[in-house]
Amino acid sequence: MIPNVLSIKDLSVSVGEKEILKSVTITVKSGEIHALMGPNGTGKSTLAHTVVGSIRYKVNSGDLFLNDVNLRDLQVYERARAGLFVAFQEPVTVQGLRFLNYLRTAYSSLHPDEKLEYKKFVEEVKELLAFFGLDSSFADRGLNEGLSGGEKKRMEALQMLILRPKFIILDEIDSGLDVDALRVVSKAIARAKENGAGIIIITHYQRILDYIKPDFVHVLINGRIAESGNGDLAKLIEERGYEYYKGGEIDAKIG
Amino acid sequence: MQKLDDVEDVKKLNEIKYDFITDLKPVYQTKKGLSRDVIEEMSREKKEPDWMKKIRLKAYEIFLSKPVPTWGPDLSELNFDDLTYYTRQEDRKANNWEDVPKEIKDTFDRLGVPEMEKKYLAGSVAQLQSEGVYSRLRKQWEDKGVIFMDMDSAVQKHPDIVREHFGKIVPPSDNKFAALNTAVWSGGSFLYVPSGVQLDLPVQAYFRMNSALEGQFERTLIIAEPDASVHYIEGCLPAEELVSKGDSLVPISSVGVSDNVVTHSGENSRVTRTFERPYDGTMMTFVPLSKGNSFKLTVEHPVLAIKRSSVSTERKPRNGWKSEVSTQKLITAKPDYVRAEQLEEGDFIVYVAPTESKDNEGMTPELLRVLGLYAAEGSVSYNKAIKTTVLAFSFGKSKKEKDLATELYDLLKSLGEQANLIKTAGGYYTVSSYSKKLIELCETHVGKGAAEKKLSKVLMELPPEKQRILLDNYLRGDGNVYVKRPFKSVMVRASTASKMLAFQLQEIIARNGTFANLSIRKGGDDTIVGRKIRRKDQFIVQYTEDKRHSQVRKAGNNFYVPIRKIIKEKFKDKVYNLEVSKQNSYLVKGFAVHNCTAPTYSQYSLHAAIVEVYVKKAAKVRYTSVQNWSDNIINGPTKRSWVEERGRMEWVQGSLGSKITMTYPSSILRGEYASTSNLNVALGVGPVWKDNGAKVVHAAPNTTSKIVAKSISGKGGMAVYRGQLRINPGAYNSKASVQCDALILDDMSKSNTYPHNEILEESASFSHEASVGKISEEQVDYLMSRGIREEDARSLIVLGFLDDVLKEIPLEYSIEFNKLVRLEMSKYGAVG
Ligand SMILES: Nc1ncnc2c1ncn2[C@@H]1O[C@H](COP(=O)(O)OP(=O)(O)OP(=O)(O)O)[C@@H](O)[C@H]1O
Ligand SMILES: [Mg+2]
Repeated sequence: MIPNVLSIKDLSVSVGEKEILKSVTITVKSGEIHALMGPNGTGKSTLAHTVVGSIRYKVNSGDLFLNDVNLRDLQVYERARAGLFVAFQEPVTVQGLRFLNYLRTAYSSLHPDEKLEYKKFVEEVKELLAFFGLDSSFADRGLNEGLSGGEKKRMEALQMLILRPKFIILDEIDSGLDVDALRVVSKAIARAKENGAGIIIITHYQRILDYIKPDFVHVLINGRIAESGNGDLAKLIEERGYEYYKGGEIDAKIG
Repeated sequence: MQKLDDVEDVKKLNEIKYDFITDLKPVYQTKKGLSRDVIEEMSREKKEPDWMKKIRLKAYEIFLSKPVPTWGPDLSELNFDDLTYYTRQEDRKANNWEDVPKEIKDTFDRLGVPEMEKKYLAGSVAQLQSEGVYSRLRKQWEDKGVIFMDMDSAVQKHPDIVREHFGKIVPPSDNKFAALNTAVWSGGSFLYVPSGVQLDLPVQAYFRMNSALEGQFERTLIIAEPDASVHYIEGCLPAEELVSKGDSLVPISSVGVSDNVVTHSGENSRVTRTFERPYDGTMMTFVPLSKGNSFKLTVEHPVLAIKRSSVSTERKPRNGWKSEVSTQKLITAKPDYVRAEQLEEGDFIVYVAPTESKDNEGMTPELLRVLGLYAAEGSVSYNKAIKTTVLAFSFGKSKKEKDLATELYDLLKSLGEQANLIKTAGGYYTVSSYSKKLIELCETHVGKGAAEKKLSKVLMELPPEKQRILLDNYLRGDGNVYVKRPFKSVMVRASTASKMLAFQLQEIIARNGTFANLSIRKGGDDTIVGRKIRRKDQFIVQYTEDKRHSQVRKAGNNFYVPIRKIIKEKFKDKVYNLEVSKQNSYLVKGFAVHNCTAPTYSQYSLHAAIVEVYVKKAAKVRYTSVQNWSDNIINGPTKRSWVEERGRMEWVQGSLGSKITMTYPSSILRGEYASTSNLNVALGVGPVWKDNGAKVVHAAPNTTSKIVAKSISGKGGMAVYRGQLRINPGAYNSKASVQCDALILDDMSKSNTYPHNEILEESASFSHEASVGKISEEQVDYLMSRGIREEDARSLIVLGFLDDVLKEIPLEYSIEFNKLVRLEMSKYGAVG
């Protein structure tokens, strides 16, 4: 099978007047796990939002392709239909919009040719809620309404599994998770990988990477990829800190 | 004060003239403007008693002395001299459909309102055909002592009751509009419910009542005597009921948003929302001539039907059954929606053959022959001995069966597939194959296991001619086609263990122009040659090619099938309903049912109705209205109730459309332990001003009130909550709560809250919560990033905001609301 490829190439992005991302290149193939690390405010979430297609993020130059589909031509919902999924750092709340109702609408939008058997779907959602250690009543709650930080993250991971995307960006999915939750969320990521998804994990911590070993690690400093390497790079970062990158940028070893 | 004319669009709207009266020759109409003469003339024309004329004239004096309200929206453009105050009732509906403005027609089209209903709602036909049903219902009520009639008739027929109650709750001195209404009122409804009577006012009658009410200066009086109660019922289906999705039938509970279902015209249409609610009441089972198609509905659900009485002839009944019908009358009759409860045995319901088809090049006639035979005789099994999956077609012993087996064998060979032709030890013929491709094809398109067989979407969508090939081959095996004597008519009969396949065959036969009966032969324990066996249920699809004896009539892609039997039983469980994007209907076991309503449309520019409701000791009244006027209307009804000891008044109000709406349903809690609730939803999208709210006076101890108001404003709209709550001194231990939430859709729109709370009793408890929210772009982005279109994302957010109130209102209204929310939100659809 030919692997799917998400290709972010020489991407420069500004928010308002300010240029945040500068010529960022990351190529993800199905089944691969990439970690994206970097100090606060360097543009990691900006990258996630840009890939999603929010109009507030203006692409100045560069390419964004999923296989041969130019994502820049597509609206937000069309990108999702092309196979993209982003778990947001701060998932929004929609009062009164029942999770199950929302999820079903999303699912049938993303898989229009598939017959959705409602009862099975509900069962699957309830099973997954149990898997993530969440009460089944969460299915009937308003979207993220009254959820704790960690609960929201688990709900994002749940959607990632149910919606079966081709490419996944997880923006700090690990922040705010307790030890047990971190373990199940890692399992969920491993499962998504098994299903053939290509994944970018944005994180500040080595912790999650102990559970899921990344194939590649990229360091984003001031909107640029300062270094790319294999899984071991994450440990190095932990040891030497971002101070290391001050003063000059190291040439990317892997594109 | 914001002047509405500042908003650009209002100018455009003002140019649209909704003036139908010019082309009409009314039988009677007063001249424009108002004077004592006009009022006297009107009263004379109506042949009213003197006391009513006096009430009118006195109210006119008050009208002249009262100023136009200056708070709230700007009403300065209202010219009282430019209105016509009375046109005789019969003439009012007689408008031309051609004259209805295009944009209103377009709105109906976008909402998918059926033709007949459009005309009704636009006022160009006087009544829906279901009117007959309605009057029969009224007969039932009369037996209980209920009086339900238009207000003018009530003045004539029940002057004592009217005189005692009229204008007491809303006196003309209340406000200028109330005075005006009292002076010139016409039409409206009068409802009197005697002591202890529980009236389930059906929703259709309710709509009728509301549309009558919402005339120009209509007057409604509702009197619920002690212990009486008034409410209405909604229509739904039980969970397991099967709905047609075009390629298959599925339980209604499993249907989801975005699914396609087949509508009464046979076309596919998208489900835009699903509903679920608990139901405790009567469930009806309809057993049509074709027993296997029996289905269940709640009593209120409208079913597409033709009443037998409307198409019967003088001829004697055949088979000692129902009166004979005229085929000519039947095939030219137009089916209409009839409430389930009003249907009788012998009436005709409508089986619909889906019309949409999609050819598939890959499905060649050869392949269809194979699949047809597989559906009838084929099976797939795993042979342990040779560790291979085998496809087998089992035939009988006869020469005909042998020929068929040989033909199939040749056919498979000609398709380039591996095949074997075997004669078993018992003398049976079998064709088998190991071809992976063939096995996969059969499994994908027909399934495996006799009871689980089901034709694929691809097959069910093929054009009827191609499906015919499949069907003909299905029927080729032994025992499917009989020649009946003495008429030599050919009877075709297919039997299968798969329920789904049976329904699908019936559909394919219908698409090919014939209605087939579906029946079930119950399985169970049986003994054959001394051996105990367990039989599965068998589903039998059968039809005669000779139609002389058929009781079913065909009209286009519809088949009118008589109801053989109706069973009523108690039911307590969840029931379901669907909202469908066009045509407002779907098929249950192949039969068309309906459930939706649409906006009302008025030709008047000012509406100032009055509603007075008496809730006497321990009585209960729930009054629901959803107004959706065209955008040129100023609507200012006065609605008020008096609630006596332990009585309960519930106001439910939804307001959409109309340029200006000012409505504040009120409850005066006059007796101890009286209570009231007020649910209010206003949707103001576009150049409109929604000024809604509630008024409650706690005038006795231990009274309770609850107000929930939700407003949405968008595209320059203004939504105002105006509330007045007063707890009088001495209303000990009374409780009141007010919750008002506003959602603003964009930066052009506004929302305001003006609560006036006077809590004059110390032992009373009172709470007030208010919130104002905005749809954020992050919310829209988030939903879109999960594949949901922008307008759908916005609808979901709005409906989420309304969730807690939509649950409370009757299903029909909530479906309508849903539709309208979506329609409004489609104005936000991203372009490009
Ligand atoms: N909508 C916005 N308006 C203005 N500035 C913004 C906006 N979004 C992001 N920025 C700025 O862009 C920069 C990058 O932000 P971003 O959220 O991408 O950082 P991050 O790498 O994800 O940081 P963290 O690790 O803290 O999540 C920050 O300086 C932030 O303030
Ligand atoms: Mg971030």
